[in-house]
Amino acid sequence: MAENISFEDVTGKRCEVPIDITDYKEAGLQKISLSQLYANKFPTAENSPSAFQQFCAASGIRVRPDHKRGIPASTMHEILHGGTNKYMGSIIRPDGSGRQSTSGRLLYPEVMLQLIEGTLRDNKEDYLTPWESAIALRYSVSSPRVDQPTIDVTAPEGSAASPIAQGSEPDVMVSISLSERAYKVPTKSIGLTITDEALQATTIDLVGITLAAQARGERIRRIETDMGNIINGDVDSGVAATPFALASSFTTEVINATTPITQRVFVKWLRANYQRMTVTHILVMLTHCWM
Amino acid sequence: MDVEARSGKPTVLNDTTLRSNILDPKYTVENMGLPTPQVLLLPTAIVGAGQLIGFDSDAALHEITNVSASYSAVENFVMRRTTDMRFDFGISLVKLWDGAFTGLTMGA
Repeated sequence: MAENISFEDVTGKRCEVPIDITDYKEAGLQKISLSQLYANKFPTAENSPSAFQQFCAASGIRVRPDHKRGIPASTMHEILHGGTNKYMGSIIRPDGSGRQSTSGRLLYPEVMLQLIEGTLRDNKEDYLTPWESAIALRYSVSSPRVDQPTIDVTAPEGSAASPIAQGSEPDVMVSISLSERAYKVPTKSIGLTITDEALQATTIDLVGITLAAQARGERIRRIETDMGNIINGDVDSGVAATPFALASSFTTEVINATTPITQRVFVKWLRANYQRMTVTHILVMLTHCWM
Repeated sequence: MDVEARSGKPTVLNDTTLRSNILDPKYTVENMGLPTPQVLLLPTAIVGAGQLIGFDSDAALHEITNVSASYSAVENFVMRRTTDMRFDFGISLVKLWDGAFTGLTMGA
């Protein structure tokens, strides 16, 4: 079931290309999302919308309402039963053959996935916002199985940089290798069903918010569980436990239950690994903080 | 409480800024390398009693987000024109580099 859909290509020329349900399969095989697949197959000019954005516009999928022009977001009825393009009209041919287009239905799953992915990635909530700045690297995949690279800098850390003769190879190398086991991102599933009566009243942005709210709660749970594995170690994933130094190793002062930490210990601990790292974040339970 | 009430913490009681009769030349340490760490709270089950864990946000954590729809779900939705749809999503936080973490056991 191919649909012809038009977009403006990289040269600014308008052309019509077929999109098909099997595009999802092709994207899955390449481990990329549908929108990434279209971006690869149908490149567009640098400052113009991506092919996927143009396809959505051409199919009349309006993810957000356009208050300025008085156009509401697409209802689920328009997406599921055609007629998404009644405001746009660009894809309806003079003989009216484009009216029953399924392109809205075809592109809808990817639109929803992007909404959920966006919510998982950027969050403005109190709890999650500080975590945003704490994460060094972030990427999105479209498959639950990922290969996690292991970085080994033991060699450069262990030996100070040594003088090197011209043309010779460096003594120490940072090694980046793939871990022996592929890592599996624990995956949850959200089922969505909308009754016939609700189809007209339900808009695509409302559905997006509902699905994203579910995903947000999952993110908080995952952060806490995964931090547990990172701190305490996880044999299954080959993660070593975080090493702990005793407070008494930083001072000759008496350290006990009454005086668990002193100013000297705190400052020395923060500075202990200054050649390797800067302590930008501290994880602690509530009672050790200010209560 | 423990970190905030650490013994020897500079307080207003030993602040001589406003007491000009006391000879107290001021100096600053420029390369101490101490930023202002942001404290993130975690449940007791994850960070134990008496533990502080510090990490460097530049190299510590890697977040992987998987958002996908199984092909069969999409196919059903598009070809059979069902009103049901299934979306799969997962998120995982993994350790990027062991050296970006350091722990402190208080009270021992």
